[in-house]
Amino acid sequence: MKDAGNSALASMKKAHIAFYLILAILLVLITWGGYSWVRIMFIDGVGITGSSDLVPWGIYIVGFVFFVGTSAGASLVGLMIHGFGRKDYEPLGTRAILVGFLSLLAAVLFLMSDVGNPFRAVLLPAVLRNPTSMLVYTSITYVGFAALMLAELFFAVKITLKGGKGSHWDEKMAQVLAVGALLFALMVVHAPHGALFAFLKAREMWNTPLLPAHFVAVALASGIAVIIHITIVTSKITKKEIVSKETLSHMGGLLAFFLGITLFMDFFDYLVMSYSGKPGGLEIWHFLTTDFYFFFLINTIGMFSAMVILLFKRGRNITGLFIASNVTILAILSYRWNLIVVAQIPPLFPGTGNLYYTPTVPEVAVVVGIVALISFLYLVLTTVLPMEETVQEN
Amino acid sequence: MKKLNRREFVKLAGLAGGYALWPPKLGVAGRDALWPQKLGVVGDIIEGITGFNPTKPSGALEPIPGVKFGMVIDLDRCIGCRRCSYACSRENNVPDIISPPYITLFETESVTGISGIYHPTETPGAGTTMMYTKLRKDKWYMPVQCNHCDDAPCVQVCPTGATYKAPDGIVMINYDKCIGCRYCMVACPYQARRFNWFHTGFTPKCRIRIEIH
Ligand code: SF4
Ligand code: SF4
Ligand code: SF4
Repeated sequence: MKDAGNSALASMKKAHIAFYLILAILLVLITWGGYSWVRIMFIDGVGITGSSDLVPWGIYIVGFVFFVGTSAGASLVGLMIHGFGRKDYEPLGTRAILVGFLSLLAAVLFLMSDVGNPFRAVLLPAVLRNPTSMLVYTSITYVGFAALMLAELFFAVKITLKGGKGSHWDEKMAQVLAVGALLFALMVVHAPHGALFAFLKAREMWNTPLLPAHFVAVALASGIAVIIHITIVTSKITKKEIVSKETLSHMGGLLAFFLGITLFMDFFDYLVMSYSGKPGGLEIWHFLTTDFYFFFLINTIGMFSAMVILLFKRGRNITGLFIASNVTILAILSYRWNLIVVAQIPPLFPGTGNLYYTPTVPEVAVVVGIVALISFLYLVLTTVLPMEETVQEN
Repeated sequence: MKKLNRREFVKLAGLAGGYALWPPKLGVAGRDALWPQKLGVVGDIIEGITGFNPTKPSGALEPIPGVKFGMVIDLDRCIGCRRCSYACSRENNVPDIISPPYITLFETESVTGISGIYHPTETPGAGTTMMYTKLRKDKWYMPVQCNHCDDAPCVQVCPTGATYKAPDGIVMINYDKCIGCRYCMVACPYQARRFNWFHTGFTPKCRIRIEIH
């Protein structure tokens, strides 16, 4: 008995050391990213990134769109708990809100790394100037969405502190906020991000009315994939089941559903692009299937195989879910890369030669730094904040 | 030395303070330094509250009443010397080294088919490249730059209103508002916007009128 106690203590200590080690590594990465950010913004100029005059947007915008989507998709957990009354999702409540909030933070940081004048850009939501620009509205929605999520977080923590059962008022507020946050996230925050690109009639790949709907489907898929990934990893590390296997399997089903919708839209999008024979569409199709075929394959085959794994009940075991969620994240990242980068590759004037975009080291460092920063904050906040009761120990 | 009375002191202090907050005045060629204008948000804050921006450059940005500008390029006379392109890069504070330059020169095999961007490395006007007739007699040249579109996509998308359509037809840029988001660049169907990658972090553009003033 005593031995068992001692070994448990030893393993806890080990876990602690590993935890602090991870935090330390993340801090190093954050410093690297921060230094590169200062270099880009104040010392060398944005010119040291891979972006250029003909391909003005690069991986920052890729990351920005991915994290905005993830942030919106993570709100689905709140809807499950409070909208559909799935109490089994409850242990994920606070975590999902944190994932949503930190993803939004990452998205804003990506934007702040992309613009040439970040100190002026932070004023965008407050000093609104051009009502015909979608970017003004999206930047305002971040403030609203962040406020909604903070309020959600407040009530979730309050209810947890009261032992999982808040007052009638608290429960009601949590419910209204959760349902409101999801609708806000998808319709007010994320669909307009699709429009942000769809409005640009000069760019063949973006200028489609399908894009806002597509963004919503991808957002939900990426949000759920990230939540599944985090749940499984946390369960493995803490050796506690956060939610039951059934709940995870249910999430897997949802992911399969949204992947299906995404693939459906992708299929027809690509079909129309290649079949209709419009020069711009053909050019995009050409780049997708030649120079960028690697990302195109990861995107399409990745999403398809993840969906197939998840369609079968047997595939929705822990291993299957883990593989499918990671493949989905990779596939969606590749999709975002294609959407942002490949859309800018065909030159708008014929005969101008192939354009190119390759991210540079400082640029990648900033991306790594931002991801490290939100991971760091996630780890610290989930340790500090009271989390809902997990299901039970293994 | 004469002692300052209270009134003079306040005046002087106000001037000094104002100077410290005031971002450097917008030159015709835009601004060069990296730090000041990135932090020069004071004017934006004041404008957000009061609707008036004390740091906004005045005079040069005002349209000329009763004038409507248009621009014509006579392709028959263009010899592809690229001097317009170099002059424009200097004027608008974008580096010469960028490819394609601000005014992009297309070389065409015939009057109909573009065969590519004409962008040799030598500077026009230097040594043998000084030219008054076409170097390649069988080619045609077509400089492409901002068309000052009537229904300009770059104006539509610019979040801050830094790019705007002036009453005299010129699509203008106010560097004091630009955040460098490059939304205008991806929106322009002529790829006629360039970014100042190494200095200001703004997106300079052709502003015909300022140069005429
Ligand atoms: S390239 Fe053509 S338009 Fe430009 S300066 Fe030379 S002749 Fe004039
Ligand atoms: S920058 Fe492009 S979109 Fe804007 S006015 Fe000029 S040509 Fe038109
Ligand atoms: S880069 Fe400047 S001019 Fe262009 S859209 Fe952004 S704020 Fe407007």
